[in-house]
Amino acid sequence: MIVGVVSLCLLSFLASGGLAQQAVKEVRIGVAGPMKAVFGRDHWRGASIAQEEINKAGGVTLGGVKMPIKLIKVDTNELASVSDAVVAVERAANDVHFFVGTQRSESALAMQDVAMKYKKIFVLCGAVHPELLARVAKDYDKYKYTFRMTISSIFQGQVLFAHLEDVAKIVKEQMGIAKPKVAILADKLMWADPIVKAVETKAPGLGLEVVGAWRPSATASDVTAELSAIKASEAQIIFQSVSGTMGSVLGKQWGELKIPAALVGGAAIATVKTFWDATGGYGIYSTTMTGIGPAKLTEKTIPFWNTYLKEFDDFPNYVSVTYDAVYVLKEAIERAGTIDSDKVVAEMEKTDHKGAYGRIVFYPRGHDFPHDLRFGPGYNTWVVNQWRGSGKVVVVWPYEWQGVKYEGSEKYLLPPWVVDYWKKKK
Amino acid sequence: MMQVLIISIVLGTVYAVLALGFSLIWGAARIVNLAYTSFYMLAAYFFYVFCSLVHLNIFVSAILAIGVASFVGVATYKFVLEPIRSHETVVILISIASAFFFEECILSIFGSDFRRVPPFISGYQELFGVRVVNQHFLAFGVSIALILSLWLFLSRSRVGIAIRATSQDREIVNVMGINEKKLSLIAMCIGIGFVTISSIVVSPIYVVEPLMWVHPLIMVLAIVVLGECDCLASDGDCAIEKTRRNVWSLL
Repeated sequence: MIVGVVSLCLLSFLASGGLAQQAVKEVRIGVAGPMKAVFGRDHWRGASIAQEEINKAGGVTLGGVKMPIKLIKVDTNELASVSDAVVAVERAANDVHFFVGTQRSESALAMQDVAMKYKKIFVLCGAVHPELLARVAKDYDKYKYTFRMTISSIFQGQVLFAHLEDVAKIVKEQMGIAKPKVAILADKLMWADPIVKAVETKAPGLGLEVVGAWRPSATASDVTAELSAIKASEAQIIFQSVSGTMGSVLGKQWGELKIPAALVGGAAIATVKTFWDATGGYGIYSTTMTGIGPAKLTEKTIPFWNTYLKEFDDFPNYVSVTYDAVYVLKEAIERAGTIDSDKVVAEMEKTDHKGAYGRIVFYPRGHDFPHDLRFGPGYNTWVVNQWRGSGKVVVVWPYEWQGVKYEGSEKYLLPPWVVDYWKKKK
Repeated sequence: MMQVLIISIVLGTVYAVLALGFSLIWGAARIVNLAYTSFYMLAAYFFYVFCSLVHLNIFVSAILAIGVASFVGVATYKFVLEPIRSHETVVILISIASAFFFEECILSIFGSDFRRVPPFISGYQELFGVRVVNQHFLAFGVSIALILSLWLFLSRSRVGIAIRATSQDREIVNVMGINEKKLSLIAMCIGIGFVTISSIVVSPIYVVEPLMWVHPLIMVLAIVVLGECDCLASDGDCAIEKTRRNVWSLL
């Protein structure tokens, strides 16, 4: 009897088309991320601030009616298991109207297919592989529901390289070294291969000499051998490109051993405040690329930075761009006047939003990477932050890059022990 | 090359201590304790709590951390693993499940943020042009001391000889009136003690995080199991002896 009643209810729910056909009382956004890891936690934090602000202001206006946003936690465990991530999205697909989040590209590619199957808009907030958006160009009708709020790894390479150029210039000026030497220290992971190759081939064009590439495991717990080898190579700059836990160890041991080479580039883990504590302050003067910093990227940046810091005693991570993602979705829903995915996609494509992370405009259909975040001067640039005393960070790039310099940014500072070492050596 | 040599020697001794503790447990208690390195993680977190949160003296914190983590380790053996130790496959499953349980506990209490514990000796020394942090020297010294102590214990003391006898033939040991269960417990205490002491001297070099038990476990298994697979299929004394040989070759 009970089984019969349950089956009947289930059948009538499915016949009604599930959630899509239900009377909309709230906009349900699934925040997909590895919730036990820093990235998922920060996906959630960013989205929750946006939810709080929007709901406090009355919610999303849909058909003249204000309704709240409800966030649903979708724990993807994507750093450990692609299949876990797929199952998590599959299970949540009937319970949410939209997805935001995800960090690991390998998992995002699999999750994307599930979200597309259910025609759910998936706003990527951390997975940076170009293929995710190249798919939109290849099969627009299937993948058009995908948008990205972070710049892709192609543009990240450009950011890192532009910053490297700045640092090389400062090394030349302050230390009088005509041809600075660069050591590459990158994860032994596929995503870092193109970046390593790009630096190796392009650095000589900037008057730099590449002395070698060191590729320890992304989870290496000791990089003193690599750092000692880099010191022996007489490099003045270490170009890091690390995504794993190694980032903290590297920052700590680099500072502890006073390696006489500036540590620049990108370390995902160095974007959050706990990096300072984990390195015991030894990470001072190291830099990392991220989506936001304490500079006026837009009018919303500093207020968001301060709110986040006050609420979580932490700096916003690049994946906390879920904050802007929720706002972009809200605006598109309101313009469309519906939560129907196809209509919202059409409005998302018209997005021109000044968010906390900069200007949000998506590349149009016909581009190689449609729906990817538009990069460049006047659009979104990302930033490079440098750790300074007392665990503060400052934006050091862009610093007069193609005419872009954000209010509050400062010139990059070489670590004093690096300058002293090379001056004494001369 | 010199830097690789120096760092390898330092790290090699630490892994040697971990591997000796693991094989001692296997040899005497016949338990493949995959939760072994989770006590390495727990000791580091207890050290972090006592030292960085409660702000106790660093040496007091170290002793407390070793004590509490060892207690958890021995209690896990006594109440979880010992009752099922005749079922080897189940022991493997339950021990790895215990490790995940401890990891989840740490995650739910401390989150996934990386933590740091202060070094016993800060600064670094330059050795043949290679910069080595002082804590590395301490870890090396403590590891060598532990290895020598274990060697003396197993070869000279009555209990040590009894543990070796137990690992060779448990039935005969029982017939001889030796309390094999008690000896297994002693071996377990020594093994867990080794892993927690290693953690305390090594964690200031690295960062403290919930997954820090995984890599050492892989290394330990590589030394003990993969290096000498036949040992597991044969006898425990073989495990102890061959691990000892592996450790010396590692050094």
